Amino acid sequence: MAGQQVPSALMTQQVHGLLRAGLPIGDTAQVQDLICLRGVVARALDPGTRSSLIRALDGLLRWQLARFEHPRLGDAARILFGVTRGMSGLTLTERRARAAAASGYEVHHFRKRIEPEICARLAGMLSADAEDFAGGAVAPRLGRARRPTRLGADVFAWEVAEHEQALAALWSGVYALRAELLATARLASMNGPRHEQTRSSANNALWRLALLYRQAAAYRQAYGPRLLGADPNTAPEQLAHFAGWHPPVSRTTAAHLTALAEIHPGAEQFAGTLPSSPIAAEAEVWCSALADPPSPIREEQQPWT
Amino acid sequence: MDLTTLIDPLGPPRRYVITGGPSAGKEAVLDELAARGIPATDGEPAREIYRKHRDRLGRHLQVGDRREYSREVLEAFIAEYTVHKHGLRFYNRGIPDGYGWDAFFGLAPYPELEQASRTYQYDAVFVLDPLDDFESEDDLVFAKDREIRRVHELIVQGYYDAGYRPIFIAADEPARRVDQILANIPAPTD
Repeated sequence: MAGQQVPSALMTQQVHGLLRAGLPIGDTAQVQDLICLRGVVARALDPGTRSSLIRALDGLLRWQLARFEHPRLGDAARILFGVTRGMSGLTLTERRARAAAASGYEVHHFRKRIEPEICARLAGMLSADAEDFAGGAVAPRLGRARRPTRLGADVFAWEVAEHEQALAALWSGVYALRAELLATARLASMNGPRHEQTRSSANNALWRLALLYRQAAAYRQAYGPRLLGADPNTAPEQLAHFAGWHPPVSRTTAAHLTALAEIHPGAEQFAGTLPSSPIAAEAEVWCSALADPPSPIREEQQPWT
Repeated sequence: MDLTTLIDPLGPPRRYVITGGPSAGKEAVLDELAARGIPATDGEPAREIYRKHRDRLGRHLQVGDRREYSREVLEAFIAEYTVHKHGLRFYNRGIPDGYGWDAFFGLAPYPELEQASRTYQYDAVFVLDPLDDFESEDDLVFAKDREIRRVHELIVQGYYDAGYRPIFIAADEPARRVDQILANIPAPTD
């Protein structure tokens, strides 16, 4: 199940609905939209089952309540939802009275004005959390380094850094392909699609695509069939879409290109071997279509669709 | 019960976990505990296992290696847990960290991890909030800071899944964090 955006009013309403029983969240709670939030889906041990999603939502809410640092409402919120020690199992009326006292409000004012405010704030925190989990296929952000990179002696840090390394390698392939696609388009415009320079650039673009497929295959081997944390799910090969339009490539041809780039990673070796490979004809068609694309390009003519 | 009584090497075992995502300042907190003479994990068992795996494979871990690696780390955590018989001890990560770590790599929890989480229970879990500088814009390694945050959050969720109610320790100087941890040690119930 993919995470989704939920209107804030609906989220507030469902958070408010949890007040009656407090935490832990029961199996019959009306939280059908909250359990679809990205942050909940990502935390669930088994995102395919409602009970697992509810458990994840329960944990997330407890964490957010623990982090609810509002000077006036923090303690009241924890009491109200029954997560403060000794509050679990009390009725809503009892919890409300204690929460109102803790925050210094008259109980009716608390019910009418403060409870909705607490629920809206919690819904806002859930929404911000979901936003944090909206990974998408975004190139690692770069910044100006003002100090040396030092990693703590922590396996988690090493592994996250290694994943960042794999992503950086993948995206470098995407940008290299993009550069070559732009070069081909420019040369085709300046000299025509059949000009030697244009054809050479198209061949280079195919080589770059093959290298990107090889990097994607390495990523798959290390981390599985989708980019970790990307939402919606994105296969590493699909990053080629972000480089710019290029003619579609069948999975069989992609597999051949990957294997070829594995054996001959250099541009000259690759170009020298391609004409005698099983995909020579497809490669020729691909380069021609890149240099002289059909017009107009239909949307369904995307690679890896 | 005061700290001296808890540390009593002849007293019943009390086990407390210090955890958090990368760059949460765990190492400094554990050093500070050690400096105060409070028993704590020296190093991190997972590090040596990770190095050993890499040396044996001659490459980084791949998706097919992860389950075996997780099992070995789990065994090390269990060994560290069971060898402690008396008095207080702080652990550098605990068994339920495995939930978060496997989730990060898209792996579902496996039966041995679930069983171990039920069998070997800690007395409390302290989660170190990420240090402020961890989101620094000029830290190139962690340019993708969301990923670090996700690791942290999946670890926290792992402890909730295992039935714990973690105690969160705000970003601060190591000594102040240790003060905060010691002030929040729950009173033993036995």
